[in-house]
Amino acid sequence: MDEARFEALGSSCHLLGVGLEPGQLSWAAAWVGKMHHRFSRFEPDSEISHLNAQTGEWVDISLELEGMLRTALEAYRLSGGLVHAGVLGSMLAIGYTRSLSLGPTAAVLSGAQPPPPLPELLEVGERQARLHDGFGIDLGGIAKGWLADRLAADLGDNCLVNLGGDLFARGAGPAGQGWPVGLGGRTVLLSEQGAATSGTWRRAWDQGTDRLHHLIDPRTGRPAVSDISEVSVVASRAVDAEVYAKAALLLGCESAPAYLAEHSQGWWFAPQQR
Amino acid sequence: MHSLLLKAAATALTLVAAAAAAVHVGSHVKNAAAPLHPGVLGAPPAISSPSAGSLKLSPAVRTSDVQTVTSTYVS
Repeated sequence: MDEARFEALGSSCHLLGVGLEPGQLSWAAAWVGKMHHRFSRFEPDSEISHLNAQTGEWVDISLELEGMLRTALEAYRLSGGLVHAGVLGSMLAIGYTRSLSLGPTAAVLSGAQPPPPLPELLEVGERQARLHDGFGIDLGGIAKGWLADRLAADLGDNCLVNLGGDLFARGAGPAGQGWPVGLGGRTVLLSEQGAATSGTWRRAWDQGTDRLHHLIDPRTGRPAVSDISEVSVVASRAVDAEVYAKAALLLGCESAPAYLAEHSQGWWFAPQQR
Repeated sequence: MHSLLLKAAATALTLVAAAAAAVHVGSHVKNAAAPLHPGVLGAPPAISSPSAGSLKLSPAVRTSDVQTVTSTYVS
């Protein structure tokens, strides 16, 4: 088994494979780095920055960005509006204006407002998209999940792609029983399955008496207040697991189990400590 | 003669300071078992320990005692 670890997409990435061609992992790591530069909102020349800067008009986009934006619309539908890629305004208002490795900037919480439904502010056509004036897109975990699924499809018949916790396991794994993956402190064997985790304790900071974090609840436009601190989900794709995990966290302990039972193949969640 | 006295005094002062520092450090040995203060940045809170969580798996997901090769996590 070969593996590679590297930093990209603002996260730690881990690629594994059995029977890969020489140089495949190097190619894959370079591909992830290239995707980071194309789809990070912190890169001024990225495709997503270009789209966010040209609201109100149709903008030519790549096939990859079209796929991510269509997935964002699907995520909105699957989550009943809870997974909303159009919360960039709230992200900026809470001070998440740059990579958190540089620290957040001052928050102006009055600017964190609930956005309209995603289909009302984002239109996606064939190789083009249009954002309505005053709104922006933050692909966040959707990009990581989408890229993990995509890379796993190209990397090899027996591989695992883990991009910041959003992962897809393809093939029978190193011992033929599936890929052994840590989830909620246990080991689960995954094959042709994705997994992802959502939580409020990472990418979090204090401003005055407010505890801020990156997971925005589109119903309030503010950082989510949930009685769940962390959710891990197994689904048929990494991006699906990402969507279900985030939606479950926003739903909270009472409603999350029924939602996850309907949509996912397995889950683990931890309630907030009181 | 004057400079020799100054050198001797400076040397004596240095030796006394070094000896005093050695006595002080020796009597204030750090407890290697003491917890880190502040906590390690980015470490998960205790509530995310497996025992505090609830795990549900469909038949499509099997558990194992095999060593994990990677994990899903909050990022």
